[in-house]
Amino acid sequence: MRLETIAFNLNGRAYQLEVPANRTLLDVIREDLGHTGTKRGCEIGQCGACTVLLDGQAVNSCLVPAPQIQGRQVTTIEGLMQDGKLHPLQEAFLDNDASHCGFCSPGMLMSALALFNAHPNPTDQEIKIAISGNLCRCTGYLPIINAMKQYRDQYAHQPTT
Amino acid sequence: MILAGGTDMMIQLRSQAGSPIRLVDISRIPELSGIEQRNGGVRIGATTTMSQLAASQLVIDEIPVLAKAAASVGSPQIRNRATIGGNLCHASPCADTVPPLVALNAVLQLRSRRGLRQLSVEDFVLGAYRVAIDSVEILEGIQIPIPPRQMRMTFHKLGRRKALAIARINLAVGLQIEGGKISDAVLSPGSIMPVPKRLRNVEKRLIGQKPSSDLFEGIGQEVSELMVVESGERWSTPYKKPVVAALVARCLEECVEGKA
Repeated sequence: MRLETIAFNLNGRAYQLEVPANRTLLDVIREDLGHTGTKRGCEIGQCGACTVLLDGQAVNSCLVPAPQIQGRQVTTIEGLMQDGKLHPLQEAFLDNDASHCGFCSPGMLMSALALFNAHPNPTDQEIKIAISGNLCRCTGYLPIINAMKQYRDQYAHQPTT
Repeated sequence: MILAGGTDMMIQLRSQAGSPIRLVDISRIPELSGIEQRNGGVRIGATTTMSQLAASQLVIDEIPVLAKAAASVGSPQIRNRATIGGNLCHASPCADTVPPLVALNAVLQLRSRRGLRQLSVEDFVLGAYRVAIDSVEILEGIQIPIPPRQMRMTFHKLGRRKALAIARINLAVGLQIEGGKISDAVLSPGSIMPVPKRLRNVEKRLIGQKPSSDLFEGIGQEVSELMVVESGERWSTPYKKPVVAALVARCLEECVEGKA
């Protein structure tokens, strides 16, 4: 397999790597760089456990060919903490018991963050659509939706990061 | 092979691991992306994503049926990556943008060193996962004529669940009503027929008629019988027959009520 050199930004840090052309962004994040917060689920874009932000947009990292991240910005769950503190969206998840086994949580949080970055004050329906590509099999969706509503109601008028 | 959003291609590549393949990534060629008004219609670049289509004010204003179909594809994550060109070239029988593109008489622009070749969607899609594209060509863009003001179109899709569902039935329908009578009709089903196409013989039966529930139910029956003739009896036929009939009738009603 041909190797490609890719330079990109992950959670605010610049990286340059040589990767096989058919490597996925998920493999780069987890295997090459050891950031295991992003989860490997179905690997066919159905479960959303591997959701990350690519230039601010939610994508399934299992379906992104690594060469396509050349020059772009990737944000994973590890990029949410600031100054050793949880992101307020993470706090809202904690407050609402929105994480049971936790496997879907990183992907859920990234989908939620993409929504709030684009629409600081989403409707309930927009909240549901935003996480429609993320499966949760144990927490149940209600606590997750409640967490997002709480975050919206607290932060609707402030820009998010 | 041409790579754009990768949402179908990456799954395909993983399932045939080991077989060497040469990929050409066209996802970041600016000329291939974007939506603009051109030649009295809407011109959509091949690598325009489903999210861009669903959010485009031009698409929402002029060809809302396509915005609705694009918004029904996969999930937000998929829509942020999946392209309209990929949806066409992959030619899955359940591709959601295909029924509206057929209904809208979209013209596909295929580019090669020989020049530009233009094809209708019906001539482009030859069957499941087969398209009339030459190995030296790429799909550059899609030109869509803006339908007459009186033409109302709608799109519906049925899957096993709301999000991420692969359409079991998808359907674009349009009606033009003038002076209380139907002056033009479009029926463009996906998923349930072997190839995407307008059902012109059934459409003809609508023209000149006054819109009514009886008429629409009869048309729904005809479409579902046509499905069985063309696609054969399958295990799912007892479910699909009444559902297709009802969905066609509902779409036609919507076009009249102007909810579309």
